[in-house]
Amino acid sequence: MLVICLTSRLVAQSPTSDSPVKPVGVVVASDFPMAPADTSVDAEVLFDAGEVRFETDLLGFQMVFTRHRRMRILKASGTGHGNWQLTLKATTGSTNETLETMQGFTHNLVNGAVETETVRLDDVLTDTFNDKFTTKKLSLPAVRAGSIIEFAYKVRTPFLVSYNPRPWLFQEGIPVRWSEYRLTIPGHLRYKSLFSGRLRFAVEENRPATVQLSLKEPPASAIAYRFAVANAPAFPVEPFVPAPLEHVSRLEFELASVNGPTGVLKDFSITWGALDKSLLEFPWFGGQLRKTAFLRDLAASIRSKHPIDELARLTAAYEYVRTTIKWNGRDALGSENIKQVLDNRQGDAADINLLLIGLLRELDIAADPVVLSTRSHGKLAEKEAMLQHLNYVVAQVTVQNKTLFLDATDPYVAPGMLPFRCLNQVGRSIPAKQPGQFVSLRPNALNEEHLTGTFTLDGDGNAKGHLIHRASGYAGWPIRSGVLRDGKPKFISTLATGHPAWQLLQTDILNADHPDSVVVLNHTILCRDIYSEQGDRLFLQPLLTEGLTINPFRETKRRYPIDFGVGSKQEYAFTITLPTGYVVEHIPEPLSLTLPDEGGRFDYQISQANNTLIIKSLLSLPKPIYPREEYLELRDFFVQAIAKHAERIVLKRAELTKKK
Amino acid sequence: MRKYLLLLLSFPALAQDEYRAAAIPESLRANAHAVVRRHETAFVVKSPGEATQRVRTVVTVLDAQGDDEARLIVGYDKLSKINDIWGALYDASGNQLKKLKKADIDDQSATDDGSFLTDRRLKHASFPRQPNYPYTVEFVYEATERNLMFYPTWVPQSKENRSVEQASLTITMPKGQALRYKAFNLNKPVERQDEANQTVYVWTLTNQPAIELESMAPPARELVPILYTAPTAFEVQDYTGTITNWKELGRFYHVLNRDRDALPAELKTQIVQLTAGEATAMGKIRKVYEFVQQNTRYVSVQLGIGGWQTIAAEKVAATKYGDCKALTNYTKALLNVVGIPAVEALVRAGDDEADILTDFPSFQFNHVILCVPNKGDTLYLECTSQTNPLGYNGTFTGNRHVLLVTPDGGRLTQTPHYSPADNRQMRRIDVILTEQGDATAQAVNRYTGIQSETRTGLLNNRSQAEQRTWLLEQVRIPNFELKKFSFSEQKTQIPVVTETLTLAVRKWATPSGSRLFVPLNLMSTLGPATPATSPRQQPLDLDANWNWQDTDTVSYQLPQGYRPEAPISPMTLTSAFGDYTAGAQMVGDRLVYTRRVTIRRGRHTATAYAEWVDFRKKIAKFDKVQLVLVKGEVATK
Repeated sequence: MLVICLTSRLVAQSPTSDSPVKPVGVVVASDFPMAPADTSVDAEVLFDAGEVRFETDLLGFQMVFTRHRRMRILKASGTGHGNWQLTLKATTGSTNETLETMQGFTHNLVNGAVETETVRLDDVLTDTFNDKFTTKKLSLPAVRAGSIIEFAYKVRTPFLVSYNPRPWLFQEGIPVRWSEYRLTIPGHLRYKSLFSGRLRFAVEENRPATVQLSLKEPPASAIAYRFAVANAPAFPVEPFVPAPLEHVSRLEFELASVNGPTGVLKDFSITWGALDKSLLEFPWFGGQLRKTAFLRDLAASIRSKHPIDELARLTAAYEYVRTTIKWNGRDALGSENIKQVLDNRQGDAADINLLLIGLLRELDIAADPVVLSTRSHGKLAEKEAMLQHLNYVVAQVTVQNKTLFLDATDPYVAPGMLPFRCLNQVGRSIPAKQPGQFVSLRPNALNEEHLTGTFTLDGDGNAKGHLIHRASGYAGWPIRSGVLRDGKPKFISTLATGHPAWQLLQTDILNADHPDSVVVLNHTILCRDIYSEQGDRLFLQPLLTEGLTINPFRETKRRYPIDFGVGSKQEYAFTITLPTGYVVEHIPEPLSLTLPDEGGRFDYQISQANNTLIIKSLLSLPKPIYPREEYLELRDFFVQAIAKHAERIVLKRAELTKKK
Repeated sequence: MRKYLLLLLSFPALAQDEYRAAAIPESLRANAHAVVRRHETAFVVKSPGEATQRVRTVVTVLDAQGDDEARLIVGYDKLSKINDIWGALYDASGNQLKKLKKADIDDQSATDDGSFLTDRRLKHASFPRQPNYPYTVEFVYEATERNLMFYPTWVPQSKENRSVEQASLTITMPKGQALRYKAFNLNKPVERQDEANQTVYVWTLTNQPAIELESMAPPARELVPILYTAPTAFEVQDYTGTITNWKELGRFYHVLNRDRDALPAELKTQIVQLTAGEATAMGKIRKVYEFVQQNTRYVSVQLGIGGWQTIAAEKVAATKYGDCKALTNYTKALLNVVGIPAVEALVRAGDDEADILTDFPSFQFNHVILCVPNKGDTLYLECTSQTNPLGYNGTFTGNRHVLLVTPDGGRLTQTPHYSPADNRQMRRIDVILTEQGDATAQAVNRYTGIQSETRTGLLNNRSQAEQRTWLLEQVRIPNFELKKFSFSEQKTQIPVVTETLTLAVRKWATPSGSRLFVPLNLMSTLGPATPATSPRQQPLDLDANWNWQDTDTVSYQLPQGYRPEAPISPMTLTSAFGDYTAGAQMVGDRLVYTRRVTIRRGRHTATAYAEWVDFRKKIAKFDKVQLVLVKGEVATK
């Protein structure tokens, strides 16, 4: 039985549609189009049909997946599609996924007749990556522009290797005319599935059926499902989409339960509440939090150092885990053994954060795990509880009536700030004794920068002065991590290389090792050839080498939300002393812009006081995510802000007889 | 074991010192993430067809960026075998913490993105990431090698930010088998010991500080200690050869690959018919080349000696795919059918590869192309490309030496060199400017030679949506809309690609009262060069990719009633690196801005780098030129 959660935009159209799926290997001359091919893409999928059935043997259930895929090559550069490969998995006990059958066809239309070349299973090459993964490869012969190629194969997967069918993508980087997926599920098995993306089904049906699981058993009742999407356009690539796969139209599956004498019993259940409960029961998640006796001595020593202040105990525990255990760079949801993590002094994200929660609980501080999906992993679906969507865990603590998030993998964020990779809108809190709930991961901190400059222009095109760069919130992270990794001299030298127009005479860096404070870079700078002369005039860019220069939004259309991850704020306050003998001829007009729904503001003004100009600019985009409906306004906001920053101040040489 | 003792005696310091971090001299810590304490290679040639190699490395990792050095990666294939791997981990004081276990060694396929399938594999051994620095790792491996076309290249300092304390290479040759070698940047000569039935060569290196490659530095082999070695007599599978010179090396390749050019009779007839209408040899060559391009594709399968021996032309005829050797051999066979002689040319291909060492005959090649002498009008054909113009080599195989594989033996020649006049960017842009500062621009841009390669790649291999995304990134105008674009190419021997753009630009010029301030250089700015933050050590190398010329003509239709207030003085620069001129004048009622930059390849001293930075800065400044337009008045000057 399949439990489906569909997005609300879906409409099931007619119950059956004409399927363009043809028999394997059969191509006739009329399958080749008369009209010249559209070469704006190098290939297209004519149809892609997948089917999953279930069988059993002595070891239990197996999935049998067959696929028949036909493509047309439109340009010479598309012939690479004639190289097929598939990665199969094994377990350490040497139970494997196997490729049972394989056929490949290349059809070419030559003088009105179809010429076909065929390759079979014997022609498949094996590339053993390591003992867990093997890749099967096959090259089709005679592939060229105009060819129609086909692959038909069958893979058998024992449940011991994997019990979730691979996700089925209805959409790819090239257009797909017809994508169809069938699934016949016997009554013993219950799957959750999730359909994502913006495309609609052309076919969505189910009907009762029977299946023969094995020769020894009588036929079992089942339900046969069929889904299809027609004319899926090539998936577009857009900036500020952290996980493109999240938006591709696809079906994902997760086993909910198995009943029956030959199956391994698993019960994840269907609702988030039940998934919370399962996580708490898993030995690699909740189980780890029940085995914290080894942390008692450590807790006692922290308690003795800070007998009164709970916040101080919290900070001490956090700092201890953060500085003692080294993160190995891997995201994870669970841990094998947090005691070993402490002994080895290194671990992945779950090792470290579950250890932290264990320690805080030993200190009687209210701490709960929050599970989430990192930005590159795609946003978790609140409507459907899918374990495979979760890949990370952090801690949420409440102390002195304040609630904050803690992640001890990152030495460069302040307590309460999650690392950028975790900022993926929503997570799930799983307390020990109360029901779980969704929590917002929207950051309080911003990506915030203030630049204050005081410069003097000489008459020869140079500006000399001081630039103070204050970076707080997430803006401080790259500076902190760069300084602590490379050391100050190397960091400054890399900074200089990235700013060819600057000559850094002196740079002081403050607070690089205090994540709670604002990082300050204090530069004494000489910018040579910073403004241009034309006869009597000087053209000066008000923010010198800084400011906005390129619009990140070049396209006029947008399909997906714009996900910056965190709100941002950039402020400039420059004072520029003009060279003697020049007067101001033109100053850019002030400009104020706002975005709807408190989405942002831009304020810019230049004022003059005797021989100095004061330039103030504020750009604020407080929302981490903007819906696609606001794209055009966001784009235009940037267009105007960039144009304003680019507008030059024009100075003119004063006539000698004129007094200022 | 005797070899190991030999090495120990050369370095009388205490064995434990090589594990102790404190024993590292200060000069080796500067700029280093890791220090190679010991790097000992012993290569023993048993016969022309078999050798053993033993390598011992001891590396102290100083900080987190050196963690990658704390592992061993050794490649092997069907003709070699890794017999043993041993490893150990030590703390800062040199105490052994643990030994490498079998479980810490992974065996993986080494098939890379360029190949569909190879039999290359690798063993990967590492220790878990350590919480404290510094720490030291030691690895020893022994391997047997049965493909002796290649002898070791010794590069103890093969990475930036890695210093070397002591390194040695020992090569033992049986009497009667000569060793060839060529050294760069080694300050100690080889020590040679002639014994009864063998000769032992020893090279050593001590206290080499870490280096960092500066921007536009020469190839690494000119900067670090490196020793190339090569056999004279060798055997691999059932083939034997000698290479004391290029002639013999070419002869070996010829023998390995000959007589694999039989073609099916129908194909021969087809080719004769296809070229029957061509009166000239050039016409026939073109027809054959286009046939190969349209009917085959590149798939790389490299197995065993198959890595150097082509599959039969008949197989390519049947499957219609092959790798560079197979497709070159196939094309040669087809040309032979119509009476056009051709020979294979071995080349080291790649847009960032240095030329081969012409005075050191050895297998330095990674690719094969086809040389068609064509009675002096020589062409070098790239047989793996379905889109390349006939005879264009470009950045992939141009500007370098190749080895022709004639039946008499190998002979060095050179592929075409491309001059700045071959590698041009010519932009012709017509702009309509409004009083408010907005503009519409129609650009017809032509790119030739090396400058055409990015765009022909885009045109042939990318969808329209991808081309559009690329253009949007490429055009560095702050606020523009790409209304229309198209690409077309001319597949001449120096290729030309034409790009047509229609742009709408907002707020390009700044209005101010009755004036309008217009930046003149719409699309072609050349930014400043990377400044040197400390005195430059390495020479400045402008390689073959730096021979180019850009010419821009931007013609502005001015808003009604506006005229330039004053003329722009011409801007010129000349230097050892190239020239720049730019200027603007009224032509009829249009303002025409012209700009020309020519850069020439060349090698310059380290001190000349400051001049390069200055030259680029001056160009960047000139590129920001602004013209003042004024309404109503006629220019008074």
